[in-house]
Amino acid sequence: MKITYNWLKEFIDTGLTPEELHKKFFTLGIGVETFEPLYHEVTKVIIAKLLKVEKHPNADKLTLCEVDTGTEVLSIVCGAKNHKAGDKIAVAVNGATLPGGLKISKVNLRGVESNGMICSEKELGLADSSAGVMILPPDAPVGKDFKETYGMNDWLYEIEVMPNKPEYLGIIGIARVLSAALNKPMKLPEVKLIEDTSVKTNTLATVKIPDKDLCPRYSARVISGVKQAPSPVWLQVRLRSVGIRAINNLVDATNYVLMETGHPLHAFDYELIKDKTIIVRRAKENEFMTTLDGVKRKLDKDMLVIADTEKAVALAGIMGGQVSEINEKTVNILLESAFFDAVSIRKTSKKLGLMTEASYRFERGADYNGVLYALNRTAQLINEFAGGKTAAGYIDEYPEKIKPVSITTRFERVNKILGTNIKNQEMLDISKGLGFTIDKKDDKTFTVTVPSFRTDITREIDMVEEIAVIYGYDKIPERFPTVKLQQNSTLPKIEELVKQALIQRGLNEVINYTFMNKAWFEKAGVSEENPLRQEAVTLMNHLIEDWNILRSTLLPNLLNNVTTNAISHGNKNLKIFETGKVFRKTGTDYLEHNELGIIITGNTGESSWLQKPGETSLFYLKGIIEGLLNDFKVSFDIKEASNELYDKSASLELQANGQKFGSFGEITRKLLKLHDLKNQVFYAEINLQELEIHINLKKDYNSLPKFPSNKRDISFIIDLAINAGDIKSFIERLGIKNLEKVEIIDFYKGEKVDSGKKSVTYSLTYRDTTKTLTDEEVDSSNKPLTDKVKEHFKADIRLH
Amino acid sequence: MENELNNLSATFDKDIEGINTVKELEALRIKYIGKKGLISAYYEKFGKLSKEEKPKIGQILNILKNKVETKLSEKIDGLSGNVSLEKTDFTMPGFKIPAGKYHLISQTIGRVKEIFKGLNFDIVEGPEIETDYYNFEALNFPKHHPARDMQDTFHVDRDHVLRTHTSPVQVRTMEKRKPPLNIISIGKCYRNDPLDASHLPVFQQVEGLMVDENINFGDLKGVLKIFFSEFFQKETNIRLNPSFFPFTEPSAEVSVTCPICKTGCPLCKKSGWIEIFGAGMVDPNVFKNVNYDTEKLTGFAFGGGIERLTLIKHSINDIRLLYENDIRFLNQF
Repeated sequence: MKITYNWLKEFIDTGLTPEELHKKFFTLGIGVETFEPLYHEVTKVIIAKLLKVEKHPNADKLTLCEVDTGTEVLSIVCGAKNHKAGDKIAVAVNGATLPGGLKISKVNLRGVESNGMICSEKELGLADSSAGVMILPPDAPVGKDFKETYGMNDWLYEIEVMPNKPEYLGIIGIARVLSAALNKPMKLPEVKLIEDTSVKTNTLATVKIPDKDLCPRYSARVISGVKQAPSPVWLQVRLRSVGIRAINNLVDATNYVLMETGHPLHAFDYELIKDKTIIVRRAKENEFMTTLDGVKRKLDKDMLVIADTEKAVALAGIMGGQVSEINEKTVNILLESAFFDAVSIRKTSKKLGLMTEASYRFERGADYNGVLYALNRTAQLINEFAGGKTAAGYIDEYPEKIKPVSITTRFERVNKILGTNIKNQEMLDISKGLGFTIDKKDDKTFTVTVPSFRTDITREIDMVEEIAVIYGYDKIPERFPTVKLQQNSTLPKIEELVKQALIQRGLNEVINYTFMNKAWFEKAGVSEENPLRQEAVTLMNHLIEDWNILRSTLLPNLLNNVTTNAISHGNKNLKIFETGKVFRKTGTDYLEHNELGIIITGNTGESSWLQKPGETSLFYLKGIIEGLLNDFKVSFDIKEASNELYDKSASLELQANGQKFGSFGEITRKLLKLHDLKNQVFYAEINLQELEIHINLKKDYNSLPKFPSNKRDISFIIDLAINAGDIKSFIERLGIKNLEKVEIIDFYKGEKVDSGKKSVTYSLTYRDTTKTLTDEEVDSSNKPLTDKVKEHFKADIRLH
Repeated sequence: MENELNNLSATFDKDIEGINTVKELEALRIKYIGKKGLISAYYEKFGKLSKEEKPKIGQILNILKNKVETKLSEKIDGLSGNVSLEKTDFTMPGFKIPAGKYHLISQTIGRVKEIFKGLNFDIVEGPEIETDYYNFEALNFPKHHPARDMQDTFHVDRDHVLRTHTSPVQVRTMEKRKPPLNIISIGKCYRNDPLDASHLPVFQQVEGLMVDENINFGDLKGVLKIFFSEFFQKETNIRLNPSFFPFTEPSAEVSVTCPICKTGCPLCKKSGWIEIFGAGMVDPNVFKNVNYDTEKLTGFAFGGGIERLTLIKHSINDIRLLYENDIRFLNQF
């Protein structure tokens, strides 16, 4: 909603400067998006009279004009064709500045001196385009400043109107709240309509409302013999200031009243209404109508139309129809001012994708009592600007009077909610100022009738807000609440613990948007049956194609992070992770859980004169995972298992109690290629919801050993096919006396062992908690251990 | 042997004179009293001496060893501070110890949680795919009300949306818990807004709710003042302007004094104030939907963007930087 300082001034003298008013708006909850001066740069544009128009001696397309500016006669060269001697025009004289800052000075055009410029509407900032110069009305005062005469100097406020404040969609509504807040009187323009008593409106037209649930009130007037012409200049200026294109005196009058009152009106060509009968009814299923914008629209039975006895002539409260449109031949008009059901207008507007100034206002709630004021005010302006005669009386179909809302408010309640000590009388004054009628009052309560233009006020709490706004939020004292202490769970969530553990290990956290592209799966080689793809949650509406589903895995965005850093920023060494929701749909249920994704690539660290970092590898990632899981005392297994995200030769699954809770591996070449990556990338994902079941955060003390341990390192030569870890578990299960710990510490494959074999070194730690073990005692345990491994795995001992 | 020991003592005295570095001194220590040192060797021979010789030689040997140890330790005190005559180039960079970092957004969330935990608020969570009921209806956004246009919504199906705010968590919590209630909820929210320097389709919101028998609008101001003063680490004033949210009445737009300037800067558009949160007193319709007594109870709610807090606090001018995950950016914080 755009309004100007001067226009508002017609309804209330605020006594505030434009800047002060700007600030005041905010304290009243009227958000101002832009505030700017209008036409302040324009100078020296004078109203003048054309004395003579002659052909330019050296150019066929130019004219040489003599103009009288009241103080001098100037010779001006002009390129337009629509001017003639005797016309009143606007002249930018030498030294003038036009909107946008254009400066005018004496120029020589084809050998003739031109002392200024005769301006078009466009050059004056009043239109986007114009065919010739602007011809002013015959009574325009020669010699006067154009800008002053037509009140161009102004200030524009573009107001953000909240959905609950339809009253601010008209200047009068804004004036009203200022009046209450500033305690200054408000003046409404007096409607002085001169009716043609010889003919009565109800003999000229009939209105029927079969669907009164969607149209509680419909009023109309008929004006005959209007003469279409451009509107007065001041009105064109005013409409232009608030961003409305001036069209002609009929359309401009309805738009002017729309801006004043916020009430949308519509004018029909009276002659195009069959049987002069307006029927407000639901559309028929599959009924068609072409709206003013030239679009043929298919309607349905939930949509309300204005029809005559034959056809729909307008989409009620949204847009007129072409069939009954005001056209250049129109002389008789039927003017509509109605009140439509907000929800119905909104549904229709949404369904048709057609939002207009009218639908925007009706769906927010129009003023059912403002119908007649708007009707009469428009008729008056049309008579003023376009002449014609308004028939006596008006049609006002209003079958069931809408009952105004009555609210009782407790004085004490207001102060309790606000934390204030506002006096009873002040609350009453504020309510009255806002247009509420006080019906009843005592020491404790007061009862008001809510005016019809305040559809947002229905409850006591709404009155509390009204009072608070006018009283001033600034005056409400700050207080620190007395809190009843409650026992809150302060333990960090698993997500936090995991993040901490990874950051401690030198990984960087990233956070991505939660969307991904469905097409990624196919390109990534993920089959249709894969739950990641099959159970992905699709959005009904999305901004860009890349984001058409919710992520079911963190991987694509993490790979994008690698690409961004590696390709765009030359940062090839990355150890990053993300925790966040992933989404699935199974049946009709939406499931979401927190997931952890870790991605590593490049070197393990930075290189420097002291450091030569190694390359990351699957075992580097495995180390991170093992460390993380050990922190939380998870007893887990790592199993080889195929996964479409990982290369077949390096694809592993994390399990606890036989339940999968994650996976890790090396990203497939196909995926790397998809993300423009060349280097190996390793990825792990862990379902944090599943992991949480297996963690143990209890921290119990284990007494530190009092006696020294005794170690034996043994290298077994075994078949390549045997897993080192299997031997470790085998040893652990043997129940060897005093064996405290088994660790795999080395691995060898090469010329020093037979082909088809490998050497794995185990470090065995022995300890007795009650005494120091002798070498003999350790050997007596270690010997059977070695023998059993040799026998079971057909292993040999490798001597170093 | 006595003579040998005396000679050894003299040689040592001479040797130690010529020592200039700790390293040389250590070599000298090993030469004389190391495991296989010159003096240590005499202790081995000592065992083979006759009973008569033992006391005397033993005494000389001990005196010698004590002298050597004392002199070595005196010498090292003199050397420290002048460890080597060779000059070390200390402009060479140190060892690079890799450190991980929390994402800047997580750092902000951490701060916000910490401040509210200090005020005895509890942290609660809710789903990101929400039902229409929790996201809108329970929060007093009737179906077909223009208020729904305030938040461009991503729809998952007819009844499910991506939550447009964290406010549904309020309702879910109130359904389960009885007042007094002090809760904070932080998480991702979604709006179908085009991405630009100040808008993201996915963003994080912090939402607060306090409900009890005697909570008023002034309390809201007080709590916000504490929060922002603590968050920006400077005394911050609060300004409330009337606004509209379906789930609060009265509603307010919260501005804070610009944390950067006093007189005007680009951040506050020279006004000295920055719009930052939405807030208000919980609308009785919301209480009705969770079976709270609308007469007895009052409460306030507030909410705002974590990203906006982050941008203001760290003077970042483009919100998109937060989600680019450029390590060079993330490592700055």
